[in-house]
Amino acid sequence: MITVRIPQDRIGVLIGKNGEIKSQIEKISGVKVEIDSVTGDVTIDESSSRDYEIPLRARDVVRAIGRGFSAEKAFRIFDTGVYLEILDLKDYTAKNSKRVKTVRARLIGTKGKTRKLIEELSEAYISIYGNTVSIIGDYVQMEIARESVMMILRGNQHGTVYKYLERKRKDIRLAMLDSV
Amino acid sequence: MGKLGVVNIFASQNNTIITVTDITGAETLAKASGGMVVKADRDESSPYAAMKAIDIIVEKLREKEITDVVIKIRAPGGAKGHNPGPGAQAAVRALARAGIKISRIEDATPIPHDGTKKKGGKRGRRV
Repeated sequence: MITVRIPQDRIGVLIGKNGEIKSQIEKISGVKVEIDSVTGDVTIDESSSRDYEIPLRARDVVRAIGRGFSAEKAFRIFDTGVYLEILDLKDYTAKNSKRVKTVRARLIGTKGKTRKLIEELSEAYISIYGNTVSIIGDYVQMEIARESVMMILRGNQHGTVYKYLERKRKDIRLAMLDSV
Repeated sequence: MGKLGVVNIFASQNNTIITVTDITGAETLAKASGGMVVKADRDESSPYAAMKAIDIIVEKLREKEITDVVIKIRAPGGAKGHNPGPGAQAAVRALARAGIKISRIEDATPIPHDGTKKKGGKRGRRV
């Protein structure tokens, strides 16, 4: 039995139209998902699943949806080697400061330009929700996306981050060749 | 059914440490870490290092005739991060592929019931 708590406004996404998303998670992973729609407590019963690893992935899918990802993007966690990482922006800013807001705005960029570029060039998925930045990707993609986010947190200019991403494209291509 | 062991996987952002004990947890049967198999410090936590570390473990398990294991995955926990590092998944997969029978996977990350202050200080972590 695994429990996760997700924000209230993400419950609808987790359930989906006519419970579509919820049943899809159950179908892929063989677990039983129970959602308390008042508190946002999600209970995953893995006893019905034959696989040992997939229930943990199902938990991460639920967490990813709770952290602002669309269900479609969150399902990528079921692929091998892909995992979820959640960074709390509050760890990097002074307590009770407005810095979180600034940093968040810088991560998203004008009309989402920065987030889009990091996503496209690192091939990871990024979601900025509340005070957290979440990344879904494999090891190589994760490293590049995380470093880009850190660069912005550090106060580097956006141009510097884009240049870094361009430089790292080569690594992603090499990793892709490796996996073939 | 062969002998049962407990595989403790500690996956942090910087390393993956694997210790195999008997079911009491008092007797260590095998141990390996990411740092034992790669040269660069930054690769210690990589999925590749975890796979290599499992190779060492599996060899020792064969020697000691352990065929069934319970896996306990652990992130740093406490005041630190609660997400297991990239090595955890890879280690589990490598173990399954090596033909060791996995009977259960548990999350053993220590969760504080409100403990000590997180490091970083009042002004946050300045990167």
